[in-house]
Amino acid sequence: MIEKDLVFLDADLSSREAVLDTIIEKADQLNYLSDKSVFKEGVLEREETIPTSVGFKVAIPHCRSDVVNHPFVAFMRTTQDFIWDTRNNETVDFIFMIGVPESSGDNLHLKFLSAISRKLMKEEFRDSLRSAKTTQEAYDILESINQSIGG
Amino acid sequence: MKIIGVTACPTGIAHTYMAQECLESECKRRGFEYKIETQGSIGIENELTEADVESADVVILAVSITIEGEERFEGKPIIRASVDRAISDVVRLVDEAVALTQNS
Repeated sequence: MIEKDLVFLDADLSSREAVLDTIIEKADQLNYLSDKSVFKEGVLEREETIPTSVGFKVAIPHCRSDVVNHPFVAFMRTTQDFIWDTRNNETVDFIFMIGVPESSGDNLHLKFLSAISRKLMKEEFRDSLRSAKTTQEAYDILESINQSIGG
Repeated sequence: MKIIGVTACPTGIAHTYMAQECLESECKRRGFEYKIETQGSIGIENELTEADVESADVVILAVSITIEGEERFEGKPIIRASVDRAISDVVRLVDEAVALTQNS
């Protein structure tokens, strides 16, 4: 559900569009998606409802869809913060993208997502991700949550 | 002061739990008693019992969808907010909840 190829550190991107495209492209290559354009539409539709920039410079674009083959979480840290959505003008430099299949077999990945969502509200957790120097380090931090819920 | 609440968002994947965390830390910071139920994709967790409702001074409903069991809170002072507000504006939201108990 977390994998190193979906951890992007210091991406030099400064628009929602570019960030979504980069992550979705990778998720598609890794076979998480059966139809990347449908997935992207779903993510954007969710953004239309309410922007997923939640403050603390974090955005969590996400979508639950049957074009998701396996649940995944991607993490991107951008080199500079940028405005995620002009409706609330929140700037972000942390992006967590979440994909969940429509019909989820078990609850474990949902538990992971709820655990990570809660963790993101904690400053020390965000700081640890902010100071991660390598993708391995960032990956280990995220994976430790997975371990803690028994996933 | 005992604050109880429910959080719920359209997809039930992330905001529900972020809002729970924010409300809990804010209540903890103030030394309040609290219990926040989540109605998310996992279902209902940390469910509020009759006794919880009975002993609560105020209810915060940080929900952006229709929730189950809202009738449980009938007669209690209730603050309604979007689930986002419980994340981005939690301090003022809890302030408002406290103010409501003082007016009633």
